[in-house]
Amino acid sequence: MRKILLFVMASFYFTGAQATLDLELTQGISAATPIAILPFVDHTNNPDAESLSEVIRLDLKNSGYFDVVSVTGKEAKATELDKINYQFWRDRGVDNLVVGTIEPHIKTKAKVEFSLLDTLLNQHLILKNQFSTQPSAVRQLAHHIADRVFEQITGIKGVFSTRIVYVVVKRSKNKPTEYQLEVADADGYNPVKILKSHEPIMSPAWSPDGKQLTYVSFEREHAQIFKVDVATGHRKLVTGFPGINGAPAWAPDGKSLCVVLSKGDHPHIYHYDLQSKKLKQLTFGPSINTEPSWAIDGKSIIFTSNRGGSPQIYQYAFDNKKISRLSFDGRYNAHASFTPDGKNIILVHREDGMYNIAIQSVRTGIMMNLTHSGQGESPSIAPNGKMILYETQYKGKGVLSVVSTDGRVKMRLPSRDGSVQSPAWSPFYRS
Amino acid sequence: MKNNKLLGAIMFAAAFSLAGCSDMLLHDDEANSYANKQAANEPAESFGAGEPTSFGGVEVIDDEELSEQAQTAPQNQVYHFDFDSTFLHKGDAAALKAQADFLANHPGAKVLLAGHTDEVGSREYNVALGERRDHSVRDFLMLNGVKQNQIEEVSYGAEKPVDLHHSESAHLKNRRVQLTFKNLG
Repeated sequence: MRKILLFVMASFYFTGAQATLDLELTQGISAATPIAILPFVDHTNNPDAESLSEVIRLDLKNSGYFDVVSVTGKEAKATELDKINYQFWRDRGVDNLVVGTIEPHIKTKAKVEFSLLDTLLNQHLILKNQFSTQPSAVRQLAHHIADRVFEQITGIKGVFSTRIVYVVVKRSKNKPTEYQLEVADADGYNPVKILKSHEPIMSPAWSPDGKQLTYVSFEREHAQIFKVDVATGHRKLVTGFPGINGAPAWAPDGKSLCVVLSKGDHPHIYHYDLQSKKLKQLTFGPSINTEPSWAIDGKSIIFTSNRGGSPQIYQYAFDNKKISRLSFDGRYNAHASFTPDGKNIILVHREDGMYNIAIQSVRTGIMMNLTHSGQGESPSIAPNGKMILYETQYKGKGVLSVVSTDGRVKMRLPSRDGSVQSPAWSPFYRS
Repeated sequence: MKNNKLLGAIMFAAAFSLAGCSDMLLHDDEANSYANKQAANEPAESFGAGEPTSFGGVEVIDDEELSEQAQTAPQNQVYHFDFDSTFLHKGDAAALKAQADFLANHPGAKVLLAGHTDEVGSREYNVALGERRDHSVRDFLMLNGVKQNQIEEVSYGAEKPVDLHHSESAHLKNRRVQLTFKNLG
């Protein structure tokens, strides 16, 4: 493993946009692509216009894949496409430029155009797009542009337009503890409250279309699984059996869940058909079976079980009902899920009393720790398979962090108020 | 060790170092929790628990410590567990037996068992572990004549710690089953 080659710490504040989570890039990669994002030429006098280029800049910078170069002076100002001084940027080692314009459009809308330029090629223009947008959607558009630029240059689909869900726990001396389920943009902005309770909330999970969430709530002083429509907040009880109702996991087709029920006995994994509401028990015996997670093809699940004496990862195949063990390294492996290409699993791995986020090759079984602070849990992979969102401790409270699946990029999303835990990264949204 | 005046509700297995004790006692100010209230209300009286009468079928940690839990019932007591363990401490037997006797003699009485773990490890796995601790207490109560319908169980895993510190002494306090009488029959 290469050592930390780039170390950046930055906190970002926007005027007009209130963030409850600020990104801090704590470790980036050495081979980051140098890029500059110029302010967009604004013909609308929209005060939010400036944030457009700023959001693109931060997205690309925080991805760890880009070295976002900032310069001052004439060249750093908003520039029309035909007036760019490519020699100036070449001299500064900047390979790529993003420029754009914002123009008034029908009614209250704005027309936004961006261009991605290569300073080295004779044919500078490599990507150009136009959008019509409401001024209020400037942030979302900026994330979308960042996604397009990211994909064009790295060949990897960007996740700047995705969202995250997590639980915030606010504990105070003289008031009952408050638990909140929140959804926010992938960079932590625009947090929206989904549920507020004085009893614990756990294990939020996104439906494959990103429109619904399931979660566990103890609001009635026992565990129940709920399903909620994220846009409307309309929710339904899924299961409320005696004992554990936990760890809901959506099938890739969105038609069923795997859930954990104990019904007063041992916790077992059940298949739950959302349409027919039929339950089918998948695991049996006197052991703990929990944390189901679906394979990408929907033909199997992986889960945590202590059937061998200590918690390890097992796989259940739906066709022949066979269970096989996947993890062998160490005495504690839990909360596993597949990467989107199905080639690896990410999980919580204990070693010498330290709980770290690890990745294991399905083919070779070789495991590699990605975090080393010892307090990692609840890993959730980004839909592009490149980043893992997880929960850790920082300054005594729960915070969300991001680590790349190669371990080279690390980022922290510190909370300002309360502990943040149980994160889950949304799927891609179809635009 | 027997002379060590630990506060009533808290009992440790001998295997653990008590180095964190002073830290734990200093931070007893998170008074919202039942465990701490109990610790504060009960004087540090020491009880000899004697030989436990019945442990048939329930696995226990055979530690040298005698519980200082009151052997009177009904009492909303808290029973503690070792790391990654679902075994009751032998020293808690007499106090728990007293609760069982009360329940057996009052068929209308009901208890809620709330299982908890420390903060380390996976959250949903901890919910399962907390429920196993519930089951240990439930099985003990039922072996001593308590009916299944008198017992309710819930496991919160690591979600409701009584001590928010990250020390081993906080972990010890948080690994527990909290017994609450809901109906005295």
